[in-house]
Parts: sequence; structure tokens; C-alpha cells
Amino acid sequence: MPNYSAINFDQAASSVVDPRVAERVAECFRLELANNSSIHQAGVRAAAHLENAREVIAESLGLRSSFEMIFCSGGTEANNWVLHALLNQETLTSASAPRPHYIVSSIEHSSIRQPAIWMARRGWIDLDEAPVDADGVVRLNELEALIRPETKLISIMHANNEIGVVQDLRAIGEIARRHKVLFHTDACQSYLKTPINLQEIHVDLLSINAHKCHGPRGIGGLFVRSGLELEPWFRGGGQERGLRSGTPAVELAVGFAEAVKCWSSWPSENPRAASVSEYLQELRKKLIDHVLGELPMARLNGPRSGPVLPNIVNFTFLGLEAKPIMRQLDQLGFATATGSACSSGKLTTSYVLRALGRRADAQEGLRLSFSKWHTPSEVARLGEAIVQVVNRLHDEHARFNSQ
Amino acid sequence: MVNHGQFVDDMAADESLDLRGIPCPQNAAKAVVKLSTMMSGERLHVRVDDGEPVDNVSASVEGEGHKVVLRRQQADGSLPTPTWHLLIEVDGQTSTTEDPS
Repeated sequence: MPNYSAINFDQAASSVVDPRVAERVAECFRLELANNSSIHQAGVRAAAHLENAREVIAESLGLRSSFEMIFCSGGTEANNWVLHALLNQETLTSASAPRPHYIVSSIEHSSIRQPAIWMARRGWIDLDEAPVDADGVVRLNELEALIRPETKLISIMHANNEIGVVQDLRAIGEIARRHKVLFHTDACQSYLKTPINLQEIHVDLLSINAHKCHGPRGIGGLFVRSGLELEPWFRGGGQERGLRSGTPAVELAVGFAEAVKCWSSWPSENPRAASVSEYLQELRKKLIDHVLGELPMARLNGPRSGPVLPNIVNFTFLGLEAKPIMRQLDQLGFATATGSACSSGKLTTSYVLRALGRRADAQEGLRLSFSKWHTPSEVARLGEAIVQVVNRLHDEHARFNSQ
Repeated sequence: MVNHGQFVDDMAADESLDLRGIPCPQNAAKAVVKLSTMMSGERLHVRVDDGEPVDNVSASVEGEGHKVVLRRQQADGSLPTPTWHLLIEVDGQTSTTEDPS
């Protein structure tokens, strides 16, 4: 296999595992933990590792009780669980039962959007999409107007994975509470990057995962507000309060908690003065200023400042597709992402950018996402590479069109 | 020193934990985690359900080197089964006192 050592500016897809987390997980595996459901002392020790991890994560979200956090495999599982958990047998089998109505935003992650569309096509739910403004912020008046007596769930992501826009959970939670509708938010991208205190805002259900915040893949969680009765997702041995049977991945949960503990600190070999969030914001601003200053055809998708994650930037370049840019950046040693999937070689448009009302030729965005390990000089080199690649493709495009 | 027969309340302990309704061994694990954050000689008051939990939690915390210094059962009219109160001393050396009431 050829040597591949690109600088990874695709951290929003999956962030690099913090070396301290990797060491903690390895150490935990070396402990040869027993099954955490066994009541012998070895089982109790394994369970204590799990509960300790649960408490660290619960504290990071301001939970009243750590029992409100249910471990699962990640954000996709947690999101699918929420959508399915509010259906009951009566809904599915009785023609007279009113069909539940769900509202999701028009820019949800595919792990909400796809199962919700699938459920609506099967006739299990009625589905509405809450529109967003040109920056991707949910239009609250229009969201509220969609609520009707059958509305069971509002699911609106905290921060969008393509453009980083952050929604006002407090305001949406108040609308949900006023109408007695459950409110779920997918916080996989935002967790730790922007503060969430679940004692201060009204959220019933919240999905998180570890691998977006320098933790291991394969572990995540669903916050289930105390008193909320949710249908079990997996039935079996009764683990995780009987809601998600199956032996939990204790070692990964310990790694998740370690990632939470390490999030706001720099690795000792790489100390920096600013807070992690401030540092990421500085990198973001530097890249935006560079690219918009050099390339008149560049457009920033999502807010330039304000309600936006500090680690995500998304550009479109008028007249150019993002995938060739991404591929050429890859050849120059920069791993980046486009905002939409490529299926069977056919470029698709980004439903997120369409929801923002972007022009039809803005097929997809180029997403750059940082971690605290990136240096200002690496970001400067990325900016130079983007300018170089976009100018080259733009010139080629102009020559081709003039022939 | 906790007197024999004296009712255990939060005031008698440095920390407390309500583990009623929590299955084994998650209840014991919660107690072990809490005890690990406390200083040697401090006391944790734990409420657990009747039946297996009281024995399992007691055995588990003692297996980690702590000492159950008092176990007392108390009926709670709002619950179908009585609650057990355990007073656990971190790294405790005191002998256990069981209240027969």
C-alpha cells in the first residue's frame, strides 16, 4: 500500500483519536474486564468502569442523573431508536389510530432524514420538514405552525454536519414544551464544541457519539429525560435500564469518557494558550478570510460567525463542482470532504445547500473541518492549496467553455 | 460512631446514594464508583431494594475493601418492598452492626 500521510481536514466525519484516549482504551482492554452484568466481583468492577464513564458524560451535559444516559453504538443508532421508539403497536396495526406526525428540519443528518422518509413512505408516520433560512437557521415561526394535534416529535439537530450552523435549542425546546410535543436533538457534531446544559433547556432526547470528539468509534449515547417512557430499542438481557439490551462496550465507553475529560485540555506535548474553542475559531476565521479574500467565486455556506461550530467551514465555488477540488486537494496531501455523497459515479446535489436556497449550480460544498492538533501554518497551507486548485480548475473550465 | 438501632439518615453520612430500582450489579457499581471519590474513613449512606440487592451491594463494596457498618430495613408505605439502608465506611475497619428491626 502506498504511503499516505495527508493532513486530515475531515475531522467532522471522524476525528482523530486523542492519544490519551487510545492509551486509556488499551489499558482497559488489558484489564480483561468481565461481563458488566455478572454479579461476581469482577463483574462489579467492569460495571464500575461503565458507571464511572456514564457519570463523566452525564456531568458534561448537566444531567440530573447519570441514569438518563443510555449507551449505544453511536449517533445513527440513537437517532434511529428515537424515531422508532415513539411508534407503538396500536399505531402500526390499528387503522383507526391516528398516524403520528413528526417534524424534522430540512437539513437533518441522513441518520434522521433517511429513516424518517422511509417510515413516512411505509405509512407509519406523517412527516413535515421545518424550513431554514439562508444560513441554515430553522425558521421558528414556521416550525411552530407545522405542529398539529397528532404531532409526537420534533427532531432538530443541534449543529449541522455540513455547514456547522447551530440551532437555538432553548427556543425550540420552549415551542415543544408549549405544545406538549417531545423534542429530540442530534448533538453528535456539537457535543463539547458548544456548551449544552440539559438542566437549563427543555430537551427530552439527545444523541451523542464519541468519534466526533476524539473518542473511539462504535460508542455513543442517548439522553432520555427522567420520567419519559420510551419503548426498548433492543430486547434481551435488560441492560441499560432495559431500554437497550446487549452487553455494552465497556472499554469504548471508558474511552468516550476519557475523550470528554481530554476535550478541553491540550496534549502535554502541544500546549497552546487559547481555549480549544477559541483556538478552533481562530483557525476557522483564518481560512475563511484567506479563501474569500483570494477567490471571488467562493461563497461561504452557513453563518460566518455567531451560531456556528468553531471547527467547520463549507464553501461553494460558483461554476465548479466540489468533488474535483476535493480530489486534487487529496493529491496535494489534504483530506477534505464534499457535502454530499457520490452514488454510482453520479454527482448529487446537497439537500442541505438546496434547503438554504443556494443556486442550482452550487451542487455541493467543500467541507473543511479542524481539530485542535492543526497548526495555523497547516491551515494557511490548506488555504493556499484551495486557492491554487480552484484557480486551476476555473481556468480549465473557462478554456473548455471557450473552445 | 453510629449507635446500634439509630436510624441512618443523610446527616449521619458524608454522602448518600439512592440505588432503589437499580438492578444488580449496576447498583453495586454505582456505590463502588461513589466510594472511590471519597476519603478514607468517610461514610456513604446507600438506599437499596429488599432481596438480592442488599446482599449483593454489601458483598461488592466489601470486596473492594470498604466496610458496611450498618444495615437497616425500613418499610416505606409508598413502595411495595421495604428499603434497606446501608452505611458504608470507606476503607472501613469498624465491625458491622445489623439492626434487626
